[in-house]
Amino acid sequence: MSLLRRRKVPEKETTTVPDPEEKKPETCKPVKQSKWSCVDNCCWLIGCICVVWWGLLFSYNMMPSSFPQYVTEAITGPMPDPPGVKLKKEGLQAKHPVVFVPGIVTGGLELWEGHNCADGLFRKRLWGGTFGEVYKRTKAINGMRSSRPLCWVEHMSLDNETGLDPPGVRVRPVTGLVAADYFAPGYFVWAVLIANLARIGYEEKNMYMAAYDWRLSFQNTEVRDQTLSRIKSNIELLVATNGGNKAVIIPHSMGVLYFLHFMKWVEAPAPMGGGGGPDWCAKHIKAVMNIGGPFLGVPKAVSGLFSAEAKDIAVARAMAPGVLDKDLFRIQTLQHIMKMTRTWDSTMSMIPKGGDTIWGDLDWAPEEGYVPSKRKKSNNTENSVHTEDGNVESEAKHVHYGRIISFGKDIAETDSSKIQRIDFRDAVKGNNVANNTCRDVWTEYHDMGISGITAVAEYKAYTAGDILDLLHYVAPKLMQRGSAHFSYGLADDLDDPKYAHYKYWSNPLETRLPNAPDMEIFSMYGIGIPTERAYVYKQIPAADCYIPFQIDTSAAAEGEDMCLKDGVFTVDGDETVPVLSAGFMSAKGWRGKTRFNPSGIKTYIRECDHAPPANLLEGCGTQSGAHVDIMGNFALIEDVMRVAAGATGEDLGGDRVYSDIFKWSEKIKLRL
Amino acid sequence: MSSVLRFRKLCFLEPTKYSSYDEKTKDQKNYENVNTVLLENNPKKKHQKKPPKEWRCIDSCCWMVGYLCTTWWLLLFLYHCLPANLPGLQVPEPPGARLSRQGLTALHPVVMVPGIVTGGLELWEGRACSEGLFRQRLWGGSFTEIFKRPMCWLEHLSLDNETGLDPPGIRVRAVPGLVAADYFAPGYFVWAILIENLARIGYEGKNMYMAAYDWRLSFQNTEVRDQALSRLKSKIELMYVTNGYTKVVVVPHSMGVIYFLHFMKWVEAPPPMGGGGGPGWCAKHIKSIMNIGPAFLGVPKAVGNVLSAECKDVAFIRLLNTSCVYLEHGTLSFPCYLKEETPFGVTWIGLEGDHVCDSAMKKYQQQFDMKGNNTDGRRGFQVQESTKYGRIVSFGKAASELHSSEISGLGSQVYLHNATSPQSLASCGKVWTEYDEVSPESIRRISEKKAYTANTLLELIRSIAPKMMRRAEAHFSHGIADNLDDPIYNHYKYWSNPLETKLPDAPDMEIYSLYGVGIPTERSYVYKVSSSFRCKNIPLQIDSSADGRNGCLKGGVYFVDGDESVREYKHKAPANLLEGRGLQSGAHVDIMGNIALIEDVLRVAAGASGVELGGDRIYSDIMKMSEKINVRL
Repeated sequence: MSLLRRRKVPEKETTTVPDPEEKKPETCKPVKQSKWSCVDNCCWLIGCICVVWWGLLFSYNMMPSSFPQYVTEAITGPMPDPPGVKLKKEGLQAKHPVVFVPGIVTGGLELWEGHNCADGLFRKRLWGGTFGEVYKRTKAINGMRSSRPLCWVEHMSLDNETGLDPPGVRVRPVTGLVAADYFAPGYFVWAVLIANLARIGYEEKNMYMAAYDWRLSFQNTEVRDQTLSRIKSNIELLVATNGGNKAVIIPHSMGVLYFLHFMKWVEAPAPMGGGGGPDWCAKHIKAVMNIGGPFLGVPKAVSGLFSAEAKDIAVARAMAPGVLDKDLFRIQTLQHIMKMTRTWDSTMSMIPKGGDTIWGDLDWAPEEGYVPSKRKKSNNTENSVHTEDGNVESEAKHVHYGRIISFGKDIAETDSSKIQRIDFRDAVKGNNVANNTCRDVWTEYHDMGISGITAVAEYKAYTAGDILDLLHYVAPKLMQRGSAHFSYGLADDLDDPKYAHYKYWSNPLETRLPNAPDMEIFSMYGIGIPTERAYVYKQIPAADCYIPFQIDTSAAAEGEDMCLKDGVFTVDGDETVPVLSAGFMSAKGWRGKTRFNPSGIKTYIRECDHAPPANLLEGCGTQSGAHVDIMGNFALIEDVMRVAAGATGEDLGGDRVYSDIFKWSEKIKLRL
Repeated sequence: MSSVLRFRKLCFLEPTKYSSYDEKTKDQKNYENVNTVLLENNPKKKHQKKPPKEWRCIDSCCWMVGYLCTTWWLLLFLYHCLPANLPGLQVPEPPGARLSRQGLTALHPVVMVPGIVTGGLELWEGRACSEGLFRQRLWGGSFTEIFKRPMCWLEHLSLDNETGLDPPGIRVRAVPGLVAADYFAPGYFVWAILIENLARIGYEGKNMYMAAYDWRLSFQNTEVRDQALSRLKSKIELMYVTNGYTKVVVVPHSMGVIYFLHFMKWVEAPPPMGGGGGPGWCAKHIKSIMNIGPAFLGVPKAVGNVLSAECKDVAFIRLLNTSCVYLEHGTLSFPCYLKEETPFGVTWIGLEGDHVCDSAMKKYQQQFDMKGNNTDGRRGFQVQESTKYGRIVSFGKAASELHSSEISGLGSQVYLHNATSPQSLASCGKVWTEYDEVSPESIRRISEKKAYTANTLLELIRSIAPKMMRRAEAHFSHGIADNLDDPIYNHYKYWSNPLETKLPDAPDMEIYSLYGVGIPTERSYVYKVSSSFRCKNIPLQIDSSADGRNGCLKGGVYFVDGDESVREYKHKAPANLLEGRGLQSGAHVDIMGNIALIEDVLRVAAGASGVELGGDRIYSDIMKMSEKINVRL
């Protein structure tokens, strides 16, 4: 429509053609039959198009809303009933109140106070909803003065020092179920689950979306917005108004870590914690059903922080067409993104935790020997697993997943003894060369100078443990802020009083689960999609205003089992979270009574094998295992609904595992 | 482009065959001259055969449409190019910005209680006809569904006739959060302006709360079904704690005022019926209540609504009227049907009782008449003769003006539902209202009584709509208490009537009444009996021919004690159209955009007390009118 208008307006202006009038007197006999001037032609054309458009629009609106479904069913055969309908027939009814904890980037953020350039955006969504609106509106109001996207970046960024609001800007999470039901129009997050829950009687009074500002570090959400207190009070209210039935918590993605933090916070004594007493969780929580939880972090977070090449699902899907386009910001899109995301403390909650013990060192990794094609086979014939194991291992021995970052493909593949590493930790950073020219897009790389950058590249290969040092080296300010809020270690002695500090609360390897023997923990995640696990990097020589490191997309492995593609080593997972991170705690770390789980909370693993949508009409797929699309997975929804209606993990049938998570977990030598 | 043009020309070949010009060649030349550019591509021969300029009907239409669209877009484009503030059209600075410069910052958390009809309602479970509307707004928003499926819409918004709760299989719930009532319909703000100004001095989601409730339900039922009162209590407690133990400022509007009155009694009452907050709860948590446009004692308008569904309600008139027109058959029956099902209307029925309203207004009126002719002018309407405001409903203009002794007062309570005419019941099917059970005979007798005051009115409604009133009387009471210590007043049905409850024991709490004056407001009606008794008609109609509807002030403020601040806002119509709905409006809903009102709310929220605001600000004769009412204090 807008295109039409743009084309039309100039034409009209330019084509006030005088010609027809001049010629008229000469020849015109039938005066009535006026000529087709150019303007008329245009009008005619536009009229035609409009009429056709309206006609189509009209018939579209007249179409019964179930029409697409008919078409789908005609093509693919009858669709299964949505789980809500099915379970309602079985007689399930709403019992336990349900609390949703959204993950990173999926929650909406809205503007409460802004600079001049954001006039007219009061209480409009800056994040989520239609991003397009932000661009359009802002442009329309005063597009001339400043580049609008920059204004947006400015408002979305937090203060570099404090990790809180910059002065004069208040961006707050949207509250209520609308906060994260749809991320963008047509791109559901929680909506399908909500709709199904509603079928068995859920409504606003027994569902609660624990929306929080996902840019802040977890403890800061309490400091600034009292979000944790709010969640506590709401859960208490839900339990009280629903006849004392305990709540079922459903965190997704980073919400998993957030809720882990919450459970520690709520039982901690008052000044730092919520003062709920040591049995708060036991009294109020029936089950925690983690969906795609990055318990041990995701390697993706490293690449995001290191070179802003975050391929985060939501960002890629909703924003890549617009934002990543270099033209949009005129200059240096990635630098702006990096500058913005680096002010978000929460991204640091997902740096891989547990160091080399969990993620493997230069020569070893738990997933070693994983071959994408193998799992499918082993599904069919479980007996043949062992025999295949032997064959495969020899082939795939060269994949060193433990080296999360390696410089150059050869480094990634050679044996550790042949790699010569020069320690970067003591390397002197060069003086700041580019600060003057790159004022706008200042990232901490510009403080490093050439020598610092070279030093980083010289170290060749980084394991999960080295990554932390690397990040401390390249982004000291960021990590200084981050390490006040998060910790990535592995506790030797959980009785150490230092672990009472809140920065350990979101790391499952450094905290104990609450004392709530009746509670159940579910780990539900998708598998069957290649997931980023390790990267091959290259150094870019001209590091003027650019980020000096990039994923070496040319690196790719030959052969069928392409674990290395575009410079990224992939393993099994849900596209974002590797199986290891999502499943390890439930498979081993918390299984039975361990030192991380002193009260013996029961844990279950429910995997969802990924099956891409059969055809386009089906939408996101009812059997998808992708990180966000899994929220529309029928099997997962059914699990959630059964638990919400009162079932226990045993009723669901215990574990449902397709991947090698148990085998991999065995390989990890962790004292329990 | 050129291909499209060629396509057009091909379309034009058609008519040329039928045209019968002799001067083909001549014409042709002309055409060629004009359109050479366009025709370049075409072989010349083709041209020779057709004189192309025939405006067919379709082309004209297309041209017309195109022309309109073009103009429209052009204007739209210009409009968007317009700078936000045209020079000369200076928008006055919002009070929030000014006060923020004066150093006011957010202190007390603010709770907003929306009134009737302004809160949104959304669908959670519905019948088959409502497919695709899950979690869409049925009420509020754009109201498109009324037009698409009116019957379905009405069915879903209606409540069960017996219980006053959800009908089976339908769940319609209040929209939660600030979005519930910031805008009623696009562009028609309710709370949005106030929220925006509060945000300027530092308020945000964590210290503002919109206590949305399902306004169709009786107050106690919002707790029974949705636990709305518990929710409100918990939210207030939470905000009290998370904002550093500062008390809450409550801003109810319209019916929300009564709702909050109910809440205050509920929260201190012991658990099975109440919230169990203990007797000090209000004192501990509430700093002040700033009632906007309160309807403490009810509004006569509600009577008009219940009696004949003539949509005069603030928001109703703007939106439902359109639908009334749309639903040609039985125009008014539909809203009536809806209303009959929902007891909300009943809250409003003159809570006063004769005692308060009738006598006082009469006296006020007489006195007003004596002086009125010389001194009035301020109120904008002159009352020529003594109007009997006490007679809220009168049949025929004559009756409304007669002296009371001349009216034959048949006791309406003797009316029975004799002889329900079976014929009307059978034919009325869907639009069944309780009127159909009332025979024409009794309707005639009702109209014979001529005049109804607030007290007899209750009986009138009871006789016309017995089921509704029976339901309502379980939840609301319309009387006036003689002895407040009587244990019957512990029942929740008395809680929302300020004349039958005590305010909570909270000496530090302040109560403000903020309302607009200066707009003629419905006070009593002249009715006529409509001639036809067909089922689709509601037998009683407001007699629009009678000119007797002189407005009167809503007797808004009358309270038990003198500790209440009264702040009035004079209505001033918007100076020009561009100004929107007026920055100094005093109309019931528009007052929410009144600058002076917003400033008062902001100051109180930032910590000021009523005395600092300057105490009472009164333009009307409310104090005098209050004096006239004989209620034992």
